[in-house]
Amino acid sequence: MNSYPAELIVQLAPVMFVAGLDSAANQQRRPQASGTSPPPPAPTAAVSTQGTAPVAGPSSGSKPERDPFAILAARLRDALASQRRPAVWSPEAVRKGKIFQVTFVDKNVQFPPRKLPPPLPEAGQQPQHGPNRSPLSPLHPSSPLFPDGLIAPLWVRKHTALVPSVFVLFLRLYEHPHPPTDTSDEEAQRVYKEERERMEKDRDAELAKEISQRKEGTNERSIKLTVVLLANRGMLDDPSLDSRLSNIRRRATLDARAALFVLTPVTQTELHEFVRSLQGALIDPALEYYTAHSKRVRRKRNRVQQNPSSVSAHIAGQHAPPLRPEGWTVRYEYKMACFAEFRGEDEVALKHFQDSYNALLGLFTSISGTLPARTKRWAEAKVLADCINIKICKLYLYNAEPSLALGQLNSHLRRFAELSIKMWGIGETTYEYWAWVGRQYRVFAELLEQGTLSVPPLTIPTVVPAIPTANTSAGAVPASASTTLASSIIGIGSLNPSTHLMHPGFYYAAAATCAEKRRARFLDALSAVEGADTEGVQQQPGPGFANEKKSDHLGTILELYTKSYELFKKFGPSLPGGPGSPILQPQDNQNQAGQAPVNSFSSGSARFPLWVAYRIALTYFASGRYDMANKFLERITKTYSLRREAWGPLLKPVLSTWYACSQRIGDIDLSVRLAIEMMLRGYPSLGIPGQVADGLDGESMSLNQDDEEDDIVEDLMAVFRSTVPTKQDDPVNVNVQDCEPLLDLSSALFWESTAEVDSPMAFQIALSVPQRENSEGSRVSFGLLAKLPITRVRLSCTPFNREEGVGGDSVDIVVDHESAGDNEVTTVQVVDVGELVYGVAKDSRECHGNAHLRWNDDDAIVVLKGIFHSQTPSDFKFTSGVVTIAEGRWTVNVPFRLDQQLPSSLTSPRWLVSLSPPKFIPMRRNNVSVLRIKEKRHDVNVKFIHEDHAFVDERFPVTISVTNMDAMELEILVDVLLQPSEDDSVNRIEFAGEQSTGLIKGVSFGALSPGMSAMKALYLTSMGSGGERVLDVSVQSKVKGASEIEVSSRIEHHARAQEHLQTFVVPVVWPFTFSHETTYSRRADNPGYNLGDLDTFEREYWDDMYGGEANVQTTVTSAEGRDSISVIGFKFMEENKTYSKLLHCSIAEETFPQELWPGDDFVVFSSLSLAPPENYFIDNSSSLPEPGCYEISWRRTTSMDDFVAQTRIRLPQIQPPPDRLIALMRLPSTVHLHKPFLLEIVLRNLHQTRTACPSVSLDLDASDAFVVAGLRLGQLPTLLPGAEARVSWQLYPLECGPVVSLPKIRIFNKRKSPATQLGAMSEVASGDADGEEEEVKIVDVRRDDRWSDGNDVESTAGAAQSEGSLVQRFTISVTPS
Amino acid sequence: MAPSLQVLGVGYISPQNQPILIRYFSGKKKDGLKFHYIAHTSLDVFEERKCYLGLLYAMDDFAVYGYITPLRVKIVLTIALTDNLVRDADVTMIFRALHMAYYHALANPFLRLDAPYDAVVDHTALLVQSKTQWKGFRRRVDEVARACGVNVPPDGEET
Repeated sequence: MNSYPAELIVQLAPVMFVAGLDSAANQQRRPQASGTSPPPPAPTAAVSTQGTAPVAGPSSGSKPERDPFAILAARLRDALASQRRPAVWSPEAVRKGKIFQVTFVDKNVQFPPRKLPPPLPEAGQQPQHGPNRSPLSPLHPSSPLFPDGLIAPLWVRKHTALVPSVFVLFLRLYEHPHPPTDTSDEEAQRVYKEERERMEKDRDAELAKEISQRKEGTNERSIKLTVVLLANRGMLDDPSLDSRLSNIRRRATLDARAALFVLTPVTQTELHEFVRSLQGALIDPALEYYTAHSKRVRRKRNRVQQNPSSVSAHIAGQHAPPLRPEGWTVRYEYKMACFAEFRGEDEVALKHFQDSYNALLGLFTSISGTLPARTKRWAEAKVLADCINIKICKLYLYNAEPSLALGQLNSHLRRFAELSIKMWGIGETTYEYWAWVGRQYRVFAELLEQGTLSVPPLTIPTVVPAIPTANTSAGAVPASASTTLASSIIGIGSLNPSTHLMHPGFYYAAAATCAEKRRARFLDALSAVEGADTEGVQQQPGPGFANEKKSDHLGTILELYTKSYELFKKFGPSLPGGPGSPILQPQDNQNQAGQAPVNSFSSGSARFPLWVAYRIALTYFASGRYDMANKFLERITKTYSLRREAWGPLLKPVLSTWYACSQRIGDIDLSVRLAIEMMLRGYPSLGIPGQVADGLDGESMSLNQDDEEDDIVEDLMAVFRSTVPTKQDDPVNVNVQDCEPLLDLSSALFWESTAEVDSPMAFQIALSVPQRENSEGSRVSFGLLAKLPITRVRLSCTPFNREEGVGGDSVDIVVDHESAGDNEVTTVQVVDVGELVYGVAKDSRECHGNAHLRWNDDDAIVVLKGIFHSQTPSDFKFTSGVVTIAEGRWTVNVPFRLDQQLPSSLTSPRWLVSLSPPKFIPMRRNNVSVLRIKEKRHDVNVKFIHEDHAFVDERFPVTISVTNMDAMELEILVDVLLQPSEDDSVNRIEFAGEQSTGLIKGVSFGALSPGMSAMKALYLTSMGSGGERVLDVSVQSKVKGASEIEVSSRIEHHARAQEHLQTFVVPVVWPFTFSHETTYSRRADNPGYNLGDLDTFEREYWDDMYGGEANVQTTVTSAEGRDSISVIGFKFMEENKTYSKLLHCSIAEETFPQELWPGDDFVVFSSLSLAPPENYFIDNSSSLPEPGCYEISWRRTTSMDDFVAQTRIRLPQIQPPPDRLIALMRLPSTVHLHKPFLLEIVLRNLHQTRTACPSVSLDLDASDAFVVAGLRLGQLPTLLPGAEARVSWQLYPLECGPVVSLPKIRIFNKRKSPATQLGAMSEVASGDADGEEEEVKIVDVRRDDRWSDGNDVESTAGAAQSEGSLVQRFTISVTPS
Repeated sequence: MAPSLQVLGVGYISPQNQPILIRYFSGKKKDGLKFHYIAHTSLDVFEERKCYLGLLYAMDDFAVYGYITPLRVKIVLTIALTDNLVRDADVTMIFRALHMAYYHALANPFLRLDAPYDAVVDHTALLVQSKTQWKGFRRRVDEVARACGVNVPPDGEET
């Protein structure tokens, strides 16, 4: 902002003149010095503690604290002055806070004259007759603006420094010394009183006179005068004060309002309160003052606009053209804007400034050429335009309209650049142009900076779309957030990026860029002038060239960039602590390493500052301050490298510059290191030094890739040949972090991923030229290595631990260069480096080979092949290497790491399988460059001896046999784990006396000498169903006594416990299969319910009337194709006796033991009496619980074990079929001839609900062999559900025979048919109420046998039965008596 | 497509902040560094705003817009700074097209032709190692730029 007059850009504020506060001493002394009737000091004044008028006033400087008024004055000065200091940017609180800009003046300060008559004409000129005019008006001939100037900074200064809006005068009120202490002396009292009144009157009159004199000056300019009388606190209580004050006010013709104050020495806070109230009281007069000015100026402007010729008419005929009406408009609008600004009316000020600016623009663009370029007036107008532009920008920013502010700046730049180029001939090729543009950016940046530093700061807007904060605050950018991103961007609408305000760092950078361009243009001009000089041609340098020559271009650039850098850092991302911030980690590293010599780039990831820092470094370089440039470049390089973000193209110019810088400094080692680093990073050329010079010409970011770049290798070679290293004896180490190795070593391969100790493993390492890509992604091939004198390549293979990282000594492969003739060099060279052994004596940890270490061809490959052994188990990989370059007296070692490559590669490593023709196969397994060496396994043979299958419930023996085949005595421990079976059955193992359902641990097999075996039996008892049982057996072997006996390191690892895991599976089958067949028969002998019999209600009363009997036939089959089984015992286990009880079982004790061969059947028959519960028949699907099971005790016939397994076979569920009305026929199985026997039919109504009306008929044929006594045809009693009736006949057999038919008996159950029931009413008359008769089935109880579904066994077995007829002929066997 | 936007350059940056592709359409080789710097400095704004798209910053004579794909690939679009309003819808459309270009390029199965079996599934590995297969990607980006009315140098091959 220093480039512009401070008056034109400073924030204007109402001005207050303060007089009378110079110091207490001055104030006291002055009235005495002026000699206006000095009051004679009272004799008693000496005792006054107030010290109102000491004879010899102490100097205010020596002991100001003694005098309270001096302190008060000093404090007042501080309080008033600290309110507001002149600044370009004022925070709103200050602008709107009724705060004055205070200027301390002398009491008798004179204001500049308002109007002056025209000066006396010089000799030979016409005397001028004009009105008096302001000395600053363009109309006044002695004005600096005469005759056509617009406005001068002086005018602003007049209003800020020379003329106030209010004038505050501090004066001391006279205080008479204290009265004499002797109050009794009335005379003395009276004298004192008279004296006092007289003195007060005199002194007040003087005071009033002084005030009125002062008031004359202020009244002339309508300036408000306010008097503050300083008095002691005691004075306030004085009864005469009011009258004295009104007297003074009247005499001095002071205003009624806010014109007279009395102030006593008070505390600091009260003083501030006073200052605040004083200003509050005076702000209105001040605003009125400025408003009056505005009104006056507006009148003048209106006059100009209404009558443009009126202004210039007065001075027509002058030799210089007068100010045009447009000029007057500029002037008046500017004045009105300033007065509005004084008043704090930002909007009004903005409006007038804009009008003024537009009018000014009109002046510039007017075709009549009122402002010819490069004249004084033109320069003034330009400055004015720039300043108004800043004012407008500032007012927009005050109003929180940053885009309008930026838009104003942009349009200002655009319009004036256009004018500059088109009208004034100051184009982009001139330094003047760039100086001007740079100045605009700089002032704008400074304005923004001031704004951001104020309190509250100006906020730089950020365009943040309305993303739901819930997502963003979590720090994650999940897919859900990104979906909202897409939708939210639409919601923002649109934006003009050119009016999007950035933070001031950007504008400083822009200014710096302009300054660079300015310098470049200047250098062009300079070289043109110098060139002309040497050729002897007189060339006129451009205007301002001499001034331009004086300016410190580089210093300016540096200053601007440094400011920009600081601001970029200040406004950069504040990363630390941000959750989910992606690159915290490299940042941390950097902070550790971040002892920056010049600047600490501690803001970490900020990339803008880095860019600016590079510009700063370039500026230092250009200005020849190579040491500073060096420091900067070192830091920049380190920061870029640490970031590991692979922005190679950005690093290249940095390195190139640094390289040039190191050469300038003369640091040979550094330049060699940098040259090699650049080679490693794949920059084939230097691009130096032209790049640096270009870099400052305004093409601020250019990647120079000219064709005439130096080859870096040749450059390096030249250095090698012509120089010696600083330390001649030691090789120079060039350690480059974070870049690819000089040689592409991505394919250091082991043939397999694991090997055992001491067993060989083949490896191959292919050395080739790295293939890199440039920024456009196309492959760059460069023959760097063809020329580089590589003498040796050393590769280190290091054991490492996946958890702890690399550790231990390495074994190396050393390949020396062996020059070969051109013909002998093939594309693929194979070098056999022999055996690389890890673990033996240290001196033999290398293997050597020779190869032609030049890569003339991009595809040239040197394949090192060899065999790797290790005597210790570990993981191995090729971790690092060193390429040695030797030339001249230089030996340079370039170490590199192999294990820090890019995380994944898109091309599989290749293994050379054939040399002629070269043929590779890809290695696609995991971690091809890592070899895991495992311990040698203890040679332990584990066998499991067992039958090929186990039976369920059997205690199945498995013999575990462990044989030590190793050469050492081993201690063996065995763990067995039984896996849970798939069903829920619980299986069990027994091993070495322990039982478990899961794990048995640590069963010792003892120490086994080589060749010895040990066996132990494991018993598996499988329950539940068949299937497979899985056992995991872990055999741990340990060298016997390894812990006690000192073992050589060679077998140390071998001595460790090793584990051999084996799993074996035992198929388990059922020893038996079985099937059940259940039939049901009815019983007729039970009388059924007899409600009259008390036994019926006994607990053990058994009623099988409904249930009858169940006959269960169980066929047990020995498992087919298995071992024979000895059944030792077989018994029925009755379990559920509530509804069933065993009547009979066919098992005979003496049958067992019995051997069952595979496939043998064994049948058991059991009959059960059933007493189902009452509700059993209601539900068809119900069944009775299983009545019990058979328990079979058995063992494998071949088993040597005396263990008896027990298998249970559960009986099926019992489902007796339901019945309805049933006729059960009872008769003996055999009868004798001529012996009567009883045939009984029991009719049972087993239907649950229905009543039965049975009738019975017995037909006796002539052929029948019986004589029958009993009912032939008759109705039986009606049977309620559950009731029964019995009908008996006595029969005499007349014939013998095994099968004699019994008389035909039929039983009917009479039911009313549904039709009958429905038509009962109509059919009553007919008297036929018979309905339908249903024949009831007669069951011969002797032969009754049914399935659970109610069908007879015989009928389903195929016995012919005439359907639809239940007429059965029963037979009986009759034997002779 | 929006003819009002003058696309100057496009940058793709991986989630690890490594450049994937920096493309510019001026045809001048010396602009390469400038566009690298633009993409690189944009990362500052990306990090500052964590999750953002839209205008990142405006400087000199260009404005930089940013976009983050669901897989956190950042796309940086540089357009010429004019005095016109830039409709966000237009920018979004370009970004979507660029995203699709990236997506299609990534879908090329031949990218993984020679990859080891254990190569990480992470797509960025494919990107950062911009092999020659990325010609297709560049072509797609150029197509997007052409659709925006940019006069792309023939085949983009300045070398």
